Amino acid sequence: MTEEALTTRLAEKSPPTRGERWVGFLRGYSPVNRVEGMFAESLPDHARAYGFLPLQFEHPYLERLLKALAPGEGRLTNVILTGTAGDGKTTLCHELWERFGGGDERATGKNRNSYLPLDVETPDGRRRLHFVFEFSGWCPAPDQEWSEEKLDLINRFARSIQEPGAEEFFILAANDGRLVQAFDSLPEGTYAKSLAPDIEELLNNGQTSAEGLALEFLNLSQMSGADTMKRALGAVLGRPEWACLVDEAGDPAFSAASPLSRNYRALCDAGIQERIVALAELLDANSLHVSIREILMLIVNALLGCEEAKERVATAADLRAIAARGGMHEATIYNNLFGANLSERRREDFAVFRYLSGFRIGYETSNLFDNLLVFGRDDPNLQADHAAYVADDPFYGDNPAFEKLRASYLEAEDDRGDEGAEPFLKALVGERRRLFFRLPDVDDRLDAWKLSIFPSASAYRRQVLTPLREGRAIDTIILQRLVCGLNRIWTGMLAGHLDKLFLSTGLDVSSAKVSEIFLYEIPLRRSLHGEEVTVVEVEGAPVLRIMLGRNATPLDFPLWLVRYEFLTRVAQGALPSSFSKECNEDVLAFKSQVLSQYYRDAGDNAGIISILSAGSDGSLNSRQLGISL
Amino acid sequence: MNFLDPSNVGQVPKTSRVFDDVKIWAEEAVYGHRLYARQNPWLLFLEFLNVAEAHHREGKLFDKTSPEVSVPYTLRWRMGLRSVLFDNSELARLAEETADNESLWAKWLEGMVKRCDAPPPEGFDYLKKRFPRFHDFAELVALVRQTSLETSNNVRWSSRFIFPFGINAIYSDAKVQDRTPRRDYINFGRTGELLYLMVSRSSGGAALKQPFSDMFRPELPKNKLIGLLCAESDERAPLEMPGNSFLPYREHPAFERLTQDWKAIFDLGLPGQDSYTHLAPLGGLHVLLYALETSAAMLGRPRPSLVCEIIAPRRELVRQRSIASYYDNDALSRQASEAYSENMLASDDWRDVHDQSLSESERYDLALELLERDFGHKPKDYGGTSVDELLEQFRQALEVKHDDNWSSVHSSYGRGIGLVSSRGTNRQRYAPTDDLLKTMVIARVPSRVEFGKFLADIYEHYGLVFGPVEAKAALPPTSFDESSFEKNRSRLEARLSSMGLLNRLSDACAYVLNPFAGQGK
Repeated sequence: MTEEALTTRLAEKSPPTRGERWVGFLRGYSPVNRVEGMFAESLPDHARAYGFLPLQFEHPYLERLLKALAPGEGRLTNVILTGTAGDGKTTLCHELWERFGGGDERATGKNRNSYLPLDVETPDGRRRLHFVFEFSGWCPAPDQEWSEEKLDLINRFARSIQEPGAEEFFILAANDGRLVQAFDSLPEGTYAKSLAPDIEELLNNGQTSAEGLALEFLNLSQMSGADTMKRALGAVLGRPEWACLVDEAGDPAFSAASPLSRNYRALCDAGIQERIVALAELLDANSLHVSIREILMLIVNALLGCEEAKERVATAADLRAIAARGGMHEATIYNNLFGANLSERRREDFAVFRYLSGFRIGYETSNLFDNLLVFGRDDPNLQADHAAYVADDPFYGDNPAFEKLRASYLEAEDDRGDEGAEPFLKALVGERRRLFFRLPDVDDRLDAWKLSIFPSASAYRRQVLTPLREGRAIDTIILQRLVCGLNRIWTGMLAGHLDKLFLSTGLDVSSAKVSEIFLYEIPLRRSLHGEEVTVVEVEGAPVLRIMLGRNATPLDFPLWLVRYEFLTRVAQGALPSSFSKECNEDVLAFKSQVLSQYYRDAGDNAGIISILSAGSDGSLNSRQLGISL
Repeated sequence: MNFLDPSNVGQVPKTSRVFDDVKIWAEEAVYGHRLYARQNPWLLFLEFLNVAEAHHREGKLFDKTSPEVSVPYTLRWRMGLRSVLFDNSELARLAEETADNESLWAKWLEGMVKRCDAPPPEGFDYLKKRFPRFHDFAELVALVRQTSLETSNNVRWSSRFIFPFGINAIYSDAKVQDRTPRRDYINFGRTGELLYLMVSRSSGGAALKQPFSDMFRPELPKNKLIGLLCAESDERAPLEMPGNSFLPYREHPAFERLTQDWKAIFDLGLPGQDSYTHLAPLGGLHVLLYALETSAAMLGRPRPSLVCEIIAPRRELVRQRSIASYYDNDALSRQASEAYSENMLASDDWRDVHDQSLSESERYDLALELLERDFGHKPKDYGGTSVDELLEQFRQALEVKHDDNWSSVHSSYGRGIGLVSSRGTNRQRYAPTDDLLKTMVIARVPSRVEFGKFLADIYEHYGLVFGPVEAKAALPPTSFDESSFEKNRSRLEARLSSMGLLNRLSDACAYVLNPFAGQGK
């Protein structure tokens, strides 16, 4: 379309182009959506209004469900789908409903009943499947009583789970908080109430089934965020509607000068995708779950976010205006991925932005990185890096606005006040973020994760997550480093990298800051008695495990990234309380658990007092006092 | 039953010596004699342990008590142990010397004879018999000194305390005069005695008998270790306490809550004396809540709530509410003691004092008599001549007395246990520390409990408000804002989670965990 034609079309208010509709449709998934918070019930209407299919991909748990539920093969059971809002619980139910022969009236929003039964044929005859698409909508509100009808249904649900030979089964999509509350609110003596402890146990221990229960209990909050992220990126970027960037390239909104086309191409870049997936993987590793809905929101915001736009998420008209004034740097994917386009208040509404802000990317830095960004262009030692990682950004290249700020910042040197520096420092945050996504994985000197609060993240991924995933043991050096951190925090002494974990206590309390009464030492390599310290995989996640004996209950400390980082930093010389007081508490709480087991097995064996002290070489030595009681 | 019901409120016999130390008997009648503001949670707990250990020695631990009857007991000085620990500045220096064992002992013993303020009658020779090597002795002293309670920094040596490992480590506060220890009220201000009485009056007191008796077992290893430093004469308990501290109520819901919490902590079977690190702050907390609840009842108001802020990066509505809640509660004790005295002044017996048909001097004499009878108050200077002036002086004196101690009980105990903070502002508010939160989780969560239920429970049990549900119940609609309290709730959730005390399952469901549950012996 020529510019002239565009002007004419706009003036005539002709129907929107495919590209314009596509942007409008995507905005429905963005932080400014007005589509009732993207519920499974309302999205179909939204998609229909724009004439597109909803953004969809195969739900990560569908395969699992189809294994548990195959009426044709006589496999049926009860299912509880629980998880965070936006994890696709209801969508999964729709999917099953349709696959098992139900119509599309529920998925298309024509029938909004929270509960519908469906009869299916199995080799053993006809069986009834009860679908509760929205448990929260189905069960009585907290201040209301249970009706006879609903009590009957929930009792039958409990019977089907607890008693063998059931002829009807239930598929229930429930918010877990609501589920717990609902079972609490059942009148005393109701049969189904007997199920409440099982549900609590399943929720807490993360298991999907329990002995003696005909139940598949899937907590979607346990889905791998990295996996969802990959699926979601594929689903969004693979859409044919992106042809608008070619077909309508004459329209500035979809031209090469538009941030949308820049952001789209950047998001297609394998390196950038890898880093986004790595962020998702590390959120998983910190036990932080982001719903599918928010992952889609994040991706759409990355593409369309723009602080200067009226609603902070660009419309086609906004894109046009930005392209016209050459302002694409106001809307870069690098900032948008952290929600920088949104107001702080709005950003706080989304778990994904709260969690990502925890990485402090843009704020953490080192002299090397800042020199690269500020002086790299002119410094002979940094020029090559600058060219490779900053200037050669094929999506955003040089940012003229930053260039200007940089120049005036450097010139003003002496007489710049805080105010003068502020725009520059803000722009520098954006540049650091860009650098974070641009740096390759291979360069240890310019390790992207050193631009985050978790500088050990790349080691964590390479040396902990990867080996465990591949069934290998982690490197002894890593284990020694972690144990060094534990020894320092637990004893309060400057221990070096040792091959033993020391258990000690204060004379007064076991959590004493300096614990110099020696109790026991545990070798890293398994001893004759089965004592050891290892890092193992439990349900896909790394766990630091202490064994106090062959038959002892393992003492597990989930090795979240934040804990790994904390122990690593302490091992490298940071003071335990300087990184995070909570982490310190957390590690000390683990010590209490270990000591409790030790005391239980060994007794309060204080007949002999041995004092622990640190040598100047970092060794920890125990020495027995010449006192006997 | 309302605890203010006359059948539940005891009176001290008018002959009791307890009146001697009180200028105006007003707050004492409401709360007891006395809640001492300058007693921090550890000193409170130590005084309690002293009293409990004394009664345990007599086989009367937590026997029921009543407001009218004093329960005398005797305390130990342990001057041997204390001198060795705290009046022994030469030891560290000597331990550095390279001289042989014998001469080190000789030098040290000689020094102690010269310098020691209040040595035990048998001197210190016993130590040489127990420790073949001087260095082991020095090392043990250094080790034990490290457990000095933080309360006792920068104070005279006879007011320093060590961690209460067992009976050998429990002794009374002292001031030394003429080489003899004497009773002092500076650190042990009777509140520990009240705490003991609270336990003894609670229906849960009996269940605490066994766990405390276990803590007082002489054969506990660390107790034996401390015993090595004690002189034989340390065993004597020469300090006779009249036990006339007064606690008015036979029953009180706060007493029940206190013993419930303490029992829950003991039930966890924590190693050694680790439970004390939770019992001490809980003791302080329940004394504070006892005072608040009693004040409110005196004023005919509902049990106070305490709006807590989990410190937010920015100033938020919850902070304002928390500040307001703090200052409202802070004013309660003054209002309650005024209400008490004004009620008394307006009672039937005082009618004649206000009867204008009687002569001024008659009324004046009557007022003097009644002030002494009802308040134990004997003004020294009769500055005025009229009844009105006299009563005005009385009110002023009451105010001064209140300012001197009672008005700061709430703030001082609140800060001491980590409930009250002024961080980020110049005003006080309720903003509990991590340690206090942890203690409450450990006391209230038997193994795990859903987060919402936990919030409901600590509101019910302590009156603490964190989340929107409790805030809505506690605050007038104009002061309530759902989203601010929702954020406060989320911050608490995040705090507990990062301390390993909470398992978050989704955006809508989390469980608070007691990390020590099921690990007891």
